Amino acid sequence: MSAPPALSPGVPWSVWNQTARHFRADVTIPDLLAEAAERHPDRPAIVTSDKQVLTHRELHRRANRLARLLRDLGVGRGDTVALFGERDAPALVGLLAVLKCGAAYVPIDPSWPARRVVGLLDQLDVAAVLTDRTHLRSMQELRWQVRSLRHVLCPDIAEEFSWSATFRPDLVVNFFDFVSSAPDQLEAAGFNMRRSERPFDENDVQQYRDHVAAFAFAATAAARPSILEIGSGSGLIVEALAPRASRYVAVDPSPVSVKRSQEGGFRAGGEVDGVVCFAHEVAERVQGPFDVILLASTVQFLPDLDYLLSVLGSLLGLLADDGVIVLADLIDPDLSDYPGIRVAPHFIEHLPEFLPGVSGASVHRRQVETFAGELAQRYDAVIRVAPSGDRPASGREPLWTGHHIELRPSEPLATGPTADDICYTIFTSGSTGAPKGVVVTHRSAVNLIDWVNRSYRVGPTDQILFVTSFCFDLSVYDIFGVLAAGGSVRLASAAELDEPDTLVDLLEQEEITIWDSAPAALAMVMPFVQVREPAGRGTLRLVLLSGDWIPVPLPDQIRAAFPNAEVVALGGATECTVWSNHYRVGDVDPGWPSIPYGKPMQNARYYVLDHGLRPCPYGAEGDLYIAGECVALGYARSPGLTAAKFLPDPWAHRTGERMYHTGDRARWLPSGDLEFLGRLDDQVKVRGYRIELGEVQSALLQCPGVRAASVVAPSGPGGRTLAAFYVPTAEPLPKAEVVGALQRILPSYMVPTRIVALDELPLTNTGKVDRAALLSRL
Amino acid sequence: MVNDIGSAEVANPDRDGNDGSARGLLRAHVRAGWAAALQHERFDNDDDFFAIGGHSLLIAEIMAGLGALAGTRLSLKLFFDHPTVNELTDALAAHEAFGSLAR
Repeated sequence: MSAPPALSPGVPWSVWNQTARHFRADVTIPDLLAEAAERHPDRPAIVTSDKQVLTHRELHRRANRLARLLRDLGVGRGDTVALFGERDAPALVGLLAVLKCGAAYVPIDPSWPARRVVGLLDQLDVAAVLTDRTHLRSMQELRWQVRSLRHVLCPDIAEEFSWSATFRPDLVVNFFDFVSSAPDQLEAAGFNMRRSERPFDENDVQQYRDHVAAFAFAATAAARPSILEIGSGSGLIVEALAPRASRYVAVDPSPVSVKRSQEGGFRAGGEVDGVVCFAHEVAERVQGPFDVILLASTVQFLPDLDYLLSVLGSLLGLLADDGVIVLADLIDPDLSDYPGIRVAPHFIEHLPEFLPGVSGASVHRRQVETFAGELAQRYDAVIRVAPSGDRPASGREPLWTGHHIELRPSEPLATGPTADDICYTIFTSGSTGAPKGVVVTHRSAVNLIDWVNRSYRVGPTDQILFVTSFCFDLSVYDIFGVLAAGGSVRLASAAELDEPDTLVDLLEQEEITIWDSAPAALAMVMPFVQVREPAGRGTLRLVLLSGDWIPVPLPDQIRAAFPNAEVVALGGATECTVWSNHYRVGDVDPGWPSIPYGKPMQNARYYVLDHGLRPCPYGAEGDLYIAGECVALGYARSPGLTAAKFLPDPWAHRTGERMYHTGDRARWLPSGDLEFLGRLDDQVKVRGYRIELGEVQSALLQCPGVRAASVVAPSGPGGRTLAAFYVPTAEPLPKAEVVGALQRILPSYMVPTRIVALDELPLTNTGKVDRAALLSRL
Repeated sequence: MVNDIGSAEVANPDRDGNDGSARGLLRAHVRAGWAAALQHERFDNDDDFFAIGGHSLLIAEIMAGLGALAGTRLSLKLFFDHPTVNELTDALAAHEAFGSLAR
């Protein structure tokens, strides 16, 4: 771009954009929090719903230990670590630890569909995932699909192994003793233990046994193989295999099972050795070599996938050179909601990569015609090994738990990130169907925190009620901004968030001074505030609202209920680091169409430009661009999209500065405040969530049986909702199927509440989808 | 505006199932709460709230209002589990605090 158009003295924004202000441009978020811990070591930092308090000193020390573990694992500057878990204290410690080790974090909501989670982790080449006990199982199921993912950490498990805390050997033995003692042959073999669509009958069981026997023999080259069976149960498979084996060892933790297996094998004409032990003890209790090690319908009863992996690693040494491990009857997470251990086929296929000694692993789907019901959906697998000389001991990285974290010292690492390093990536909806990851540096985040904390005098006596998802960028200020000020974060639990009355209790009974949310989240609570007798509403002093239109009456309702609350409207874009403008809401004229957008914050500049990127005349509507320290680095792994939305700033203060094309329409008001006038495109806000209608439409078109689709966001009382229209290919397609398919692709807030089937989409004269006609169909 | 419960419109509930019985009166209160939140009355007593343009924000208005009516706290979950006028009426009728209104 050549010489930029002059900013004439008559154009007020040249004045209102004089926002330059010194801030500490060379410090990082961990620096700010370490200083807070120095200044206020004993003040609360994190307060949970069960009134547990973590002080600033404790937060700092705990995060240091985890940061050291991450660094020991080779995670540091340039790496990305995902947070996949509950909004709880360990997660906050985890976020700080990630930043301390120099890496950036990306929040991933565990409620998102697995497919989306895998896609996002893959897109960012995530090196490690921080998760928790509750979400470990989902992460174990999908981690194998993410090639870059080396480490999974679960700090809230104190024991060394993920399974050892909940593993109760006595209960397992009792249970399988009980099962194997059942008079009913099927039940004794472990069938019909839980209600399925149709109970298994004798035919099913016979088919199953014959299939497993044939499969095991097909997998080995030995004519009379030596066989080790783990989880032999009542001896169903023993009877089929033992007569044809050169040696047969039946292992089970249940003495009753082992006895029955031996009896069954003897009746069938085979010789069976029995060993009573758990799968992880087999390598120590049994001598190899074996041609076949068989786990038939056993894996689903193991404690978890990490356990399975360590068992497999320990069994490799028991195999003959051309021996195989056969895993029969595995349950695919994509096909079943079975509560026990499910094994994704990817896990099997990737085994050679992370289990040294495994030379090949194959997945064998079953013929649907051979099996009825549930068993048809299960699958079998064969694992082969390299010749024994090339079989090193299992070198796989274990799951890292609180045990490993506690082994690290609590002193800070000597080095951390720099201000230019990436602090976080937060995903927003993308119009083409793929979410966009917005990449933000420490410097931009520090500028934001400096500005908010100074403008609103946030300090060590402040406590914020943290009600937002980590995946919303408001959380960046809520956590790091308030902690940097020496204040504290009161985590609202999921249960507290579900019931507005409980949130009112917290606001009235605890020492909460700051509320920060999208307007919709507070508007959910206000009806409950208003119908209750006030009881302690003087503490709340600052209400920050952003992310969506603020209902014009809302500020007055808030101030009527909470007399000391100052209401602030904030705005900006995720691409410009949470917020970059603010408006202290004073007297509200009920006739206003909206609460004004306000003025740019420190070191941010707002331009209203015409199509030629020239400043619009004062008061005229134009496109809103944001420039300054707040501008993000861009979109992760999307140089094209980044170049299209982040343009060179013609009025830059330094060379290389860019301005972000928000897609918002805006104009300057006589007061010097900006007024927001809507969007250029199909981006909408639904209860504070930023959604591209194109992403929802693209998901609809991925649903099997959908030929055409369109999505609208009608405005109604209390805001907008999503409504979708679809045209089935040929067969009528029930709405419930479409909803089900959407739920496997999109987060729940993006799934339209209303879905309508049409024969054809209505078109306008110009051949475009007629949205007005669609809206009238609702 | 939180809610119009108690307004003139509700004081004379006479359509859509108010047969003069206590249950009918409660149903009329529920309908009035829905109508105030949705700002229309074009729904049947068996319509799903979400299918007629409802969403969680409006549920908060309705449940805060109905709770205040009976002097009790109502869980939002109660609404999510009973998202039609008839179902919500029945669920509330089973609620202790609504006993005097429903019987």
